[in-house]
Amino acid sequence: MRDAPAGIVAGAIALAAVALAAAQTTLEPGPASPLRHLWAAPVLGAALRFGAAGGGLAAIAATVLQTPRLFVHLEDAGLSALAVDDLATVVTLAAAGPLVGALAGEARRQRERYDVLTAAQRALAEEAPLSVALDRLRAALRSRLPGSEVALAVLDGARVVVAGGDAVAPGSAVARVLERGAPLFAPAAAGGLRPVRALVVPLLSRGEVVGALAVERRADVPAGERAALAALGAHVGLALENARLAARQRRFTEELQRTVAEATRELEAAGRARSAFVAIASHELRTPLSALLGFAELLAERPFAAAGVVRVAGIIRRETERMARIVDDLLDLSRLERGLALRVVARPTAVGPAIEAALDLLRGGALEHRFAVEVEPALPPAHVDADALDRVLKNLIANAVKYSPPGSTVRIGARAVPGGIEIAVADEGRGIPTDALPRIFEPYFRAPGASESAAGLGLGLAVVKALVEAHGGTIRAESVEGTGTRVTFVVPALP
Amino acid sequence: MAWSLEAEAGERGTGWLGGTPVVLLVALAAALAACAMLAARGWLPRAALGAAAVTAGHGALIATALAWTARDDADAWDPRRATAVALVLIAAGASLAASARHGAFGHLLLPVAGLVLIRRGRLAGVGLESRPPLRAVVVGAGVGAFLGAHLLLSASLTHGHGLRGDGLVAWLAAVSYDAGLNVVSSELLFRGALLRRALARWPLAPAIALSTGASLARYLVDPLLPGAVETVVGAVAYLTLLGVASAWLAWWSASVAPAMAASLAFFAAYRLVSVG
Repeated sequence: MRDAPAGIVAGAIALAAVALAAAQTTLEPGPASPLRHLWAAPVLGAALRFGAAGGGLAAIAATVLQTPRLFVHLEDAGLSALAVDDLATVVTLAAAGPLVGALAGEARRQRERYDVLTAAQRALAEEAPLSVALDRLRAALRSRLPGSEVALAVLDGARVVVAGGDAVAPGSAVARVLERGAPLFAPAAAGGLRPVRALVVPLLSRGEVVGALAVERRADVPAGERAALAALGAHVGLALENARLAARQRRFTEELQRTVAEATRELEAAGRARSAFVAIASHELRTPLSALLGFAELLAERPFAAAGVVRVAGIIRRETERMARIVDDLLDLSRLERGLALRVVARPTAVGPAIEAALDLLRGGALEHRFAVEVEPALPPAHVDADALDRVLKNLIANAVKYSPPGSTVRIGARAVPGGIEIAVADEGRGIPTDALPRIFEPYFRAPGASESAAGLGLGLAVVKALVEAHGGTIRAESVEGTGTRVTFVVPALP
Repeated sequence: MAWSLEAEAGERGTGWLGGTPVVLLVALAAALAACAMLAARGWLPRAALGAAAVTAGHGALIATALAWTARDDADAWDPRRATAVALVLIAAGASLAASARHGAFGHLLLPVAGLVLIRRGRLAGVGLESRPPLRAVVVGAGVGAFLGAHLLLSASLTHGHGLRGDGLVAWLAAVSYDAGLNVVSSELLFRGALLRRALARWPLAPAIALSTGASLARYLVDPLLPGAVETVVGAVAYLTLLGVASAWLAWWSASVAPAMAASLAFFAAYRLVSVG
């Protein structure tokens, strides 16, 4: 009977009452008819199905339908034992209807409250964006609170996510509850003979207001239901917060997994790079070492003319300097990796002679490149460490030579700029790919194809950048594939 | 969900007696007292005193109902003109009833004027609009007819009251009083304005209890109610049932029209009984 349509149940009860009244009138018209006990069936049925109102109405109907017969007997015989018996039955029935109805109604309301809680839990159980979760929760609450309109407003940082409306107007009931955190009940939100009752309760999580739940209906919202909805607000607030924390935890876990995977990839790459570096460094050091060993054996085992000794000694000196440069680079890089600044002692240094000195060493290698030097007249001295400037120039010029074809021109220029002296080294090589250009100053990085053109550790430009920056200078590289590369750095000048 | 999210939730509402036309009520009472004094000295016929009492009593109910309805509407309006017209029509109807044999038909002047107010939307706050809730009106008429039939049966079986014997026109004239004045004034105030104010503050059950209790009190102090104990007991029983049913119908349908239909059907049956 609980799930049968209300109209059918009410019709059946009314029919039973009419049939009973007719039977009582025709079959047992006298007082205290045994049939009177059958009135319990429609009265209790109505009470169980429709609550206190149904039980009360059925009890009234039962009383009204029995009173004519009862009144006649009272008129005829006064308060006889049978009349008292009849009266007691009617009074008992009149009391039992609303009482049983009230109890049944309360039991039904308790079950409905439990259902509402379960529905809210289910709605928030699945992971979803906040707006979707709120829509789902609102739909669940509407289906469990028949005849009610439901809205939810939840704080999400600085914004308020609303389900069941567009926005929260300032000064509205929901805005007040979000602000004050106390339930608000308006018994006549919209007037008339069937006023709209509105209840807004805060959604609470650990004592903090995280949102508001609004219920409006054109029917009573009894005190018990208001308390239940306030409890539901606390429950939903906590469930929302839990859902939010779970989502945050999931996001954090995913982020952590991504970070760990990335770090693992980087570590693997670094491992591979270090292995490659060790191989290349060994190769780079072994080349001059082999030359030194070979020429030292020649000097030891063969007699040389004076000119020959001078030539061999020159070769030994160049190879020794090459080894020294590699070792210097490695030591500097080691300092940088440990977070230490490179040591420089700035002194006034003439730029033109420094460029010529660097070129002298390279010209000694009998290269086939042409060098064009253009130093601005009356260029003030740079305020730099002379050894550091020498290493920077040699590195850049050596790179320009290494990565440009024989016979091409390497241009070295120097000019005064606001804040210092700008020195540029440009070659006519094949250039650097655009995507590799930002990374050429990173340690161990070699542009694609660089290894095919020349051997190297990928340390030179990293050390150059560190040396320039140790002076407070700047360095940049421009390159056009197929045309050449130009590296420009600025170092301080004497004021 | 317009209200909770959109409307200003400030303190509002009228007090229980807000808008009551106190001056007018005092004036009506004073006028009635003066008439009673004049009648006591023999300077005013008893029939004229009766007409004055009807005018003052029902005028007070209708004036209060209109004042409360006007105050409680979202766009409050001035009920003074409508009240004045109502008082004139009540007085005219009561005078006709007191002076002519079937003059009670004059009471029907008031509902005709009421239609003007309904058409202007002045009584929408108590659910009296151009298109009444027909289904609820039928239900109301059914409830009233059932209680009326029960009353006829009980009166016949217990006290042996039969049907009145003074003819159809006399019955129609008596029903005209109910249709034109008695039902209109009671339902407008007790099932309209008062119930509306009660529902704005209380749950349904106590609001219905207040409305029913107030209307019951109105009938119990009515000098037209026969004074026999069994009649008073019967009146309390039937008017309580009728009041509860009417108030519930008014709430259910958001209109006093079904309550008026219930009361009219009940009183139409009641006027069939031969009393005294």
